[in-house]
Amino acid sequence: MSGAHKVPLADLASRLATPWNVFVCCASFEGRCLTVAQNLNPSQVAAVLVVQNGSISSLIGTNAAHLQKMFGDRCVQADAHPSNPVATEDNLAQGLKSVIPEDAEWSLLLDITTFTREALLVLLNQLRRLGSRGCRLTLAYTGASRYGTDESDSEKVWLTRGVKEVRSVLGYPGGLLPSRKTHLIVLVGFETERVSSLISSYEPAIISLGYGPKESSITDEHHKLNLMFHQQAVSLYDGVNRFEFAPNSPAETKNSIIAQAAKFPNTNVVVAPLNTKLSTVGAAFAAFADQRLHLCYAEAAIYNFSHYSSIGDSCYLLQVDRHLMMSEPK
Amino acid sequence: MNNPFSVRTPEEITATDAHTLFVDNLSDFPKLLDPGHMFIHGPRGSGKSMMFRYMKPDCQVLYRASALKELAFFGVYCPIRNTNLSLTELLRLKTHYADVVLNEHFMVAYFMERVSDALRGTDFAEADLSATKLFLENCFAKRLRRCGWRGELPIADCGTVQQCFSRMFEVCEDLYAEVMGFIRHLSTGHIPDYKGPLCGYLDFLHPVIKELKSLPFLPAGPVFLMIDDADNLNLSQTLVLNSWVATRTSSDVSLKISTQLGYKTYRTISGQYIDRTHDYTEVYIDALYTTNKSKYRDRVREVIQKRLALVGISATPEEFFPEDEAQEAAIKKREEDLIARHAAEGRGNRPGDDALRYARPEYIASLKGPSKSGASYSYAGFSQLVHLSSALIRYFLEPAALMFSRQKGDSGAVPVQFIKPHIQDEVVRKESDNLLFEEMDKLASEKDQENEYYIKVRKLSNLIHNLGGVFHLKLISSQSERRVFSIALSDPPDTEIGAVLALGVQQGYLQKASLGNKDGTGRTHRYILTRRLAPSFLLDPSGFSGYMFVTNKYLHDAMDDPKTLRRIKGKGVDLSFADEQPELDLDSAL
Repeated sequence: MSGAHKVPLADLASRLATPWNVFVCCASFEGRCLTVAQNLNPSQVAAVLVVQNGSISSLIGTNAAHLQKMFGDRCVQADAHPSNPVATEDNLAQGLKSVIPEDAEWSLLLDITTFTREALLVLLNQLRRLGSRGCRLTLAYTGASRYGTDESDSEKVWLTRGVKEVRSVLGYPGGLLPSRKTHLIVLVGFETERVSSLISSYEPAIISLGYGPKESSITDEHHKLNLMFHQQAVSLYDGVNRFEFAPNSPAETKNSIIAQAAKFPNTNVVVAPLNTKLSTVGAAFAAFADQRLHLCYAEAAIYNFSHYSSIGDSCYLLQVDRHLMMSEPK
Repeated sequence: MNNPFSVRTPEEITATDAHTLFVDNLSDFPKLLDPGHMFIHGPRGSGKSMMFRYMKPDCQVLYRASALKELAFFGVYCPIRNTNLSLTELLRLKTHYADVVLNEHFMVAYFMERVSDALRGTDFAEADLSATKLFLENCFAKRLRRCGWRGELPIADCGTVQQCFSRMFEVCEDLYAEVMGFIRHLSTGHIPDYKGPLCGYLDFLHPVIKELKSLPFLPAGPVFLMIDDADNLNLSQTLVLNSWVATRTSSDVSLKISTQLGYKTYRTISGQYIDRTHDYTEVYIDALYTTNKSKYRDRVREVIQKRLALVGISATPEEFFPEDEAQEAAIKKREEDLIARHAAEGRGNRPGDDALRYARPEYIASLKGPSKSGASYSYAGFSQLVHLSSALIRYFLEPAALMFSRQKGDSGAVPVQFIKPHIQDEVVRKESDNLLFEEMDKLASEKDQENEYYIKVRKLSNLIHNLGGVFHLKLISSQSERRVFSIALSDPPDTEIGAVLALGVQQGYLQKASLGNKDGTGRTHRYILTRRLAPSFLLDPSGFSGYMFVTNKYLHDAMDDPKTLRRIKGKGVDLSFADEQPELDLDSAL
């Protein structure tokens, strides 16, 4: 599979100017949730599924209404509740059922930008189950120019605070056995507090912290922060390993995770994607390829709603090869 | 040089290392080693898992220098983590008629797998092969078949007890894997028919363990199932476990259940509550060490000494974590002044009381307040670090690990022999700031009102800021009791206050204790601010039990209005709070 193509926003409309059977996006408090939608020609989209977090309707209402207005009667809504993964699964399944056509071949554009990682993983798993029905899946991801825009000191940037619960992602239970040691693989992003919660929760014997290479970091400060966190983790815990992955390439992320897991065979492998949404997709692909992988999610208590991010100047587009959505026999 | 303070999962520690590192505090909890069901409550980091590790047979054999069969019990460690028993798919069963039965079978499969894994990993001297085979055929396999198992247990060719238990383990692991395979299919919402065996506690787990422990090479006492972090069980599993507690089979199977103060319920499947007197005992680790600080300090001292020795450092804990000499000299001088002035101006009964009470607060008051400019108070020194850890060993070890790493970085090739005071101080200050949600102040109060959890967190943050600020004002005041670190409730807390305080306890910002109420007519709750926050509010972390009584109104004001502290500052803490001098708890002063 080719990697994700980085498209300047100015060129996005022309790149998306093709008929789509289905467009799926997530209404959010972030302005980035509108970027892809605004670059679509509504007349070329047959059906739209707008996913939203009903528990923060006051924060996302404006953007959700905007999306509804853009696509009118073609728009179906589905509620993804951050604290109720079963409801999220059922609502997304119902939503997909109502928009996916009966055709043998159909196209779906999925704007992954502002989904929670858990909802995105659940959605991908549902699409995987539908894969035999001939879906041509294209992913879109609008980058951010900055995160935590209320803080100029990169050490104080925050996106979320507190962890309400650490849980397995529905549909990715893995093949865990009690007698095996636990190998926790984390794709580290900004949120080191969530990483600490995961380590406390799983108490792994082996920890593998994955980082994007310096050249793919959002800023040099961010890379420096990652190094500081890694040093702290090495100070605190025995058995900490480091590996690199490509935050903007799901396929390479998949391969990196599988390779890292293979270094410690006969362990319960727990994967926590906490970096970009594209790398989260890579974690899903890894789990599809190896169903022994257990994916987990740390539900945040509080989001930096007002200053989460600012919109970048480009969007990544990726047409997904079907084999990545299939489960490989083991 | 390895970091002597790095966190190691107790399960990964060898018996020899555990025996070397472990500071025996089991005697602090006498009933823990006795037959009987027991709940052990304590926040993460209070040492529960390490105690369980030490209760496993390999450690007990070393500790007691005895043969396995002479031990009082056979301990099987059963951690409840997200990697076992706790899968999101199980939520699908919540409204299913077979929810309880399936969850019980899942639990039995897990515990039996743990038991068999422990058996196959134990070195049994003088083991009886024929007795083992009889047990496996006539009890284990027979009962499993009665539960619907259709497999085989091939032990005829086994030449050792170890091989027999390995075959038993393989069966148990397959049983567990079969359940996991069923659970995997629950994610979509369609619940397939379950056609596998169904094992329960009374028809399988208990009778098998009862028969197992009668094998001549095993201890005659009960099997302890040491269930760690039982908060992670879902509600159905918790009801099931409580039903096991209620069966009073502890002479054969004693359930030692640890929680992190978040255990979901004490009800059984039938809706009855398990009875604290008849069914189980319980202990709160942090409460014990909060009220008996000298015992805690001794334990920490032993732990640190052992860890230093393990990496070849001969310094004592006090030498390894030295105080800021200039600061302590200045405080010592104040102590001498207070002693000299006691006859004329003293408040306490003895000169030494005043010195102990006022020297450090007066020193802090003489600094330029909590702003970052000017001289600042140093939290370096073993004694202060012990206080700051708030009776939880983890909160000593984690900062110590970070300090060691920094010192090692500074020292280069020179082996670390002590941690410089400024490094100690900087690390604990950063930890304190990380704990405190500074950013909460920036969040607009009108945002996200539907999120109940967010509202509670915001109220808790306001309360913590208020308490920290007020405690600092008291510290630098001229009141007779300045070292206040806790509040006691004048009224029973209303629902909202109760919820916020409970969240504070659960998140580690507050610890809960009890004391006599103001009217002398009963007892009330005391909430102690974690000393880990002392650096953020410029508080003296050392241990008097000073507290102030507060009303529900005060707490609501503190939770709802961040400006409350400003009003107290304006009015003066002397006018805001009575200068109460509760009886000194000198045992808690270190």
